[in-house]
Amino acid sequence: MAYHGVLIPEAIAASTIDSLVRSVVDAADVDNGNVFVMGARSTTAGLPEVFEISVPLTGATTLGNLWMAYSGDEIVVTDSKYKGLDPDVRNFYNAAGKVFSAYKPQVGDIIMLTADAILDAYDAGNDLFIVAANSSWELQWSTTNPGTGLTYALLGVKYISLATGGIDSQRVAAYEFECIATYAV
Amino acid sequence: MAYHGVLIPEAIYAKDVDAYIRSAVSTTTAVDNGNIVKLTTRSAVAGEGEVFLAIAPSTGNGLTGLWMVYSGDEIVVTDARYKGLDPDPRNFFVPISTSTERHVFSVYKPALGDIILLSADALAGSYVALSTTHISATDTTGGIHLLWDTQLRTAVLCYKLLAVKYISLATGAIDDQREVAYEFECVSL
Repeated sequence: MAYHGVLIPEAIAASTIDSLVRSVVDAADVDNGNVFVMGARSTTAGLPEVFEISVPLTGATTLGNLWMAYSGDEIVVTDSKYKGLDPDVRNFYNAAGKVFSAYKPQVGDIIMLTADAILDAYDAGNDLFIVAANSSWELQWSTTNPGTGLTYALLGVKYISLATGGIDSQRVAAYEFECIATYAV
Repeated sequence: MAYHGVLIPEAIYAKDVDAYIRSAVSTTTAVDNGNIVKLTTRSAVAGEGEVFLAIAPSTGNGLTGLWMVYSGDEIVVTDARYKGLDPDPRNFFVPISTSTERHVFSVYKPALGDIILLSADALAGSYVALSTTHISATDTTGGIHLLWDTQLRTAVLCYKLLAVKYISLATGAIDDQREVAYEFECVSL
């Protein structure tokens, strides 16, 4: 079974600034750590404070001014959202059509992402950044700072701990990043 | 009587970051909540050591790095500043400061993603449905007022229209308790 991305917001501005957090919804499944364009308010009855989102695109929109999915505190026992009950955090994702939380990255934010949250594979010694990519919910490894779009610099290769209880399977590689550019529009 | 602008900061960065709030004084023009100003130097008047001078933004002094007037919690019973006592928030404004009468008010620094609600009196120009999609800082046309615009301006302070809503008035009058207001998101600084 494919795992989903895991995001650990180690030090982010949105932890203390309410205006950087919103409720969003999309027709597709979204992993924590995915990035997207904030759209208009939902027109669905009962969701006046919820915003619709879309995948980042170059041209039609931009790769800057993006938001990141992070449903950190949800405990829901339907729709495959078992975080807090399923011991493996890699099984958690934001199910299509369900409202979840997003935050607006700020320069200086430090986060940790698992490989499942990143579009391509890490090339040790060469990949130094992850950047917003055209038509991708996931950030993509880059050897250079593109100078445009949402960009994070790699701080270190670490790991996240799993609570599966399995022998020799309680650590999964994860990457620590610092946000170095958000670019408005 | 002309009404003054009303600002409701629905979700703004400055609510949680003290550094984004300052005290200001204007010696050139009266200001409404929701007006935009450029902060220059600290006031040289005795007792105003933490107060900054506010001027109208212009191409010459810059249409970025602006601050927004929001004296949200003031209750003052002199100088036409009756907010909290006058039931109509549209009567609230900050008069010009003179050498003998000082009127210090609060301003906050807008941030990308801020969501605010502004009444029409806080804006220059007119809303045209399906046409005016943004409001932006301009030179003399708007001055301290954000001006209705038909496009995104990335080089100046600019807000995107999210929805046409209303503010509630507590006048008690029948069929007069709602005033049209516009909800915006900050998209450029």
